[in-house]
Amino acid sequence: MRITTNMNLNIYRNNLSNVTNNLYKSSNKVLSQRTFSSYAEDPAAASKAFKLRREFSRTSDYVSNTTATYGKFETAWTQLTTVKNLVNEAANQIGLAANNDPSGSSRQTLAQLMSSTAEAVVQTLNVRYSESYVFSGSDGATPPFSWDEASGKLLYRGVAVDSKGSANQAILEQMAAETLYVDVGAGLATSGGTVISATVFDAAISGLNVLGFGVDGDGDPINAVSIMMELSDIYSRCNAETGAYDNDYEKEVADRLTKKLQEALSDITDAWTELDSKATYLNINKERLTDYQYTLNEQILDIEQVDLADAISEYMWAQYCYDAALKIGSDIVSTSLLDYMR
Amino acid sequence: MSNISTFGAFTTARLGITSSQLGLNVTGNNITNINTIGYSRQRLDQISFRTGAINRYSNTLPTVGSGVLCTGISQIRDPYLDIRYRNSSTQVGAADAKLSVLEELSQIIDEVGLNEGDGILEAAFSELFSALEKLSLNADQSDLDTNVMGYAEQLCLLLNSYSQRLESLVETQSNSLNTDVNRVNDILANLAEMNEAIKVQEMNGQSANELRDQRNLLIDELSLYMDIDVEYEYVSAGAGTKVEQLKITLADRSWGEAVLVEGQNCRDISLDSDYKLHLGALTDLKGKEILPGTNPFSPWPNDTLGGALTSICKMLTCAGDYDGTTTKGIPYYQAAMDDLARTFAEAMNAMNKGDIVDENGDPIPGFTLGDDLFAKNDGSPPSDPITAGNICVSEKWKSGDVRIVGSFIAGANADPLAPPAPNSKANDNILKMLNMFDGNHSFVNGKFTGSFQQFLQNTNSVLATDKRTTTTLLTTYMVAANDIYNSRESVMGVDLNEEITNMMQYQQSYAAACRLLTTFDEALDKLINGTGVVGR
Repeated sequence: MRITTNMNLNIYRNNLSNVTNNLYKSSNKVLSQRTFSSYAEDPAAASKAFKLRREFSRTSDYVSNTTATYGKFETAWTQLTTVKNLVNEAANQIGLAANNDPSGSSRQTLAQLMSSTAEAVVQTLNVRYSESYVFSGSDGATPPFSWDEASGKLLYRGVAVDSKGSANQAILEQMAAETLYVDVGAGLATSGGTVISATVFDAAISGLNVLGFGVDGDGDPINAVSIMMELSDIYSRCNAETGAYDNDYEKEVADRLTKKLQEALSDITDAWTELDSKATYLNINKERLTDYQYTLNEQILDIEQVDLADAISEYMWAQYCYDAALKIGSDIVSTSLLDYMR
Repeated sequence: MSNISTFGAFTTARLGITSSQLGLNVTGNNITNINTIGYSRQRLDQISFRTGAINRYSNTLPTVGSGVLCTGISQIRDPYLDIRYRNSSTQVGAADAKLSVLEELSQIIDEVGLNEGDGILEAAFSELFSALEKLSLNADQSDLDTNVMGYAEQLCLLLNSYSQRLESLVETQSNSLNTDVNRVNDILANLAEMNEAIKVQEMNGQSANELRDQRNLLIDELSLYMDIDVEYEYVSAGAGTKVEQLKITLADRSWGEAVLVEGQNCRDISLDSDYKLHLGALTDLKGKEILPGTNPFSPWPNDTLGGALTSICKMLTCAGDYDGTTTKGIPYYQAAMDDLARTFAEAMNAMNKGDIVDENGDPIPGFTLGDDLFAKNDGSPPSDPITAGNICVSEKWKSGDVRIVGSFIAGANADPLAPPAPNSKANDNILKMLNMFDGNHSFVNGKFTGSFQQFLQNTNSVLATDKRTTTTLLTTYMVAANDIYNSRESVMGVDLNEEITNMMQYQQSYAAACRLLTTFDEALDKLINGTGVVGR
């Protein structure tokens, strides 16, 4: 094959262009510290990186949701601890009075204690977190508990908690069963247009489930506050001087309600324990998600970030090739037979 | 020397000097044109000159030639390599044009490395999702709803911007295509004029090497735009003379033979608004139509045209899986963005309006909730779908008349006469929206199923793969074209060493011819002035 001057130069130009291009790519890799700078450079890695970044973003949301929900549960747990202590103290006072004051002279005081404790419990459970009532189930806008001005009965979102056998009972049951699901990264899914409860966290806390609602077989209220209010009524009707019950039936009822207050306290303790375990779950979930974030971050960096040692070696090699190409170029371009003519 | 005359040898020496002089001229021309694009090296054609054949029976002396004759200056070029180079050039033109459009598309759609690696549109979807997650915690807080609306508006504006940039790209490429068509028409007209000039020059006995080089350059350029066949025919020029005639046709003959240039006749090409190629009438240099009514099939199918014109036409018209074509041109990416915007808006709108239901999921007659979150801002008829270009947040959502519905399930209410309404913090509908966000949707007429962001990445991936494949193809074609270019250069290119050798050779032969002249002169001097002087 005949090799001409321009052929030589043309081949040289192409090769120089290639090594320059390689040098540019290598330097770009070192400077950007990215293994790829466009989707086309590595479509599979780019797709994977975006998927991981999406996963990272979602996980951040789940962490945020878990943290916020944990805050709500922590508030609820604190308030419920107060409630538990208040009711426990009230129940203890009844027991102490029974043991230390057989005559019942302190029953008027107990009446006061019961009503004030009931008031305190209601106020405690009407706490708000992030502008919403914590114990209102899925209705954060309405305070959970209030007093019926006419009857003085305890109401939950406007419905008497001691209702029985009526439409109100159904409403109370519906309110008690309310859910407020939170997406905490448990694989949110729906089935037949309904959120599958196992894939979300139920953050609804209903005051009804804490204090109880409805009436039992004896016709007595189940709600701890209502029990205390009834006890307060009975104690207040006792003789102011002697402390004797108004009648034997009232004594019987008071004794029965005292036992039921202990049962209600037990229910409150159960609710407190449940809150505690749910808060613990949220805490663990947060730790799990945070760990997952670290893992995802590492995976993203593995895909996107260059190994600097490799990148710099590659750059040095490209620079070496470029220098060599320039050196050869100066030899190719300069000499011809013309240089040796005399 | 036959038929020898006293001064015949002077002619031999003179012819030697002349041919060496011409040889030096040709070498000089070659050297000075070493960097002229398309220049084919030239060579002095010379033959040995001999006279006196008629005297061969009357002369017993051996026959000697009378020197050298220069018969012409020819150019050294291999037509077969030209054909191969132009075929390869067509492939390079097609791949290069396609890649340039794909590069421009990448600048719009490829989000790798942008926004600290999170992408732009991708991040907008994620941010909207995060805002919805926040709202799900406190569905009753209107500021969180406004927050979602803000991110939704940002997403709409981004989709609008993508659509607008794609539309601008169509316009730019369309203008570029028209420029290419104009250039092709210029080339065709120039070729016809050059054919005429070459014909006239060669009929006058002059060489038209330089004009041929220029013509070849134009044909090379034409081959980038379309796949052509080049033929050289010899046609009668009258008086028993034949002249060479160049004929260029479209390589694809399945729709008939489409002659683009034939001698000094050529035709115009044009594109209609659908980017279909129309072939004009074959006209002579004065614009007069040759053989009226015999135009080839028109419009000519673009996909058989080859070269850059076909590539750009396809990138401007083909929507890949959306219109059943194999090329994924700009319309594919426009349709994909529209698909994404429409599917997203319709899904969100559908989830934000409906009947209020009881706790069992049964609708409560006469009570509905919610309205569209997304609408159109281009005033198109309501029946027209939402597109990436016109998607916007609905006016009702903007004004606060509509909010994201937390739930359609009526909550328990103490007042039996109160209208049914969901509880303030009920969020099951938002959770369903979140689930829908990452759920499966149908795109590309059912050919892709996945979430919005997965579809966005799939679109990116399709573009990246196409770009990668085209880059590989272009590299392969360029290597092949470069090889052929070098082969062609090997034949037609000027080599400096070779020319300098020739220069020295002609210089020496010039000196030798001059020396020959001196020798003859001295010999004759002896004959004329030194003979017969004995005894003077």
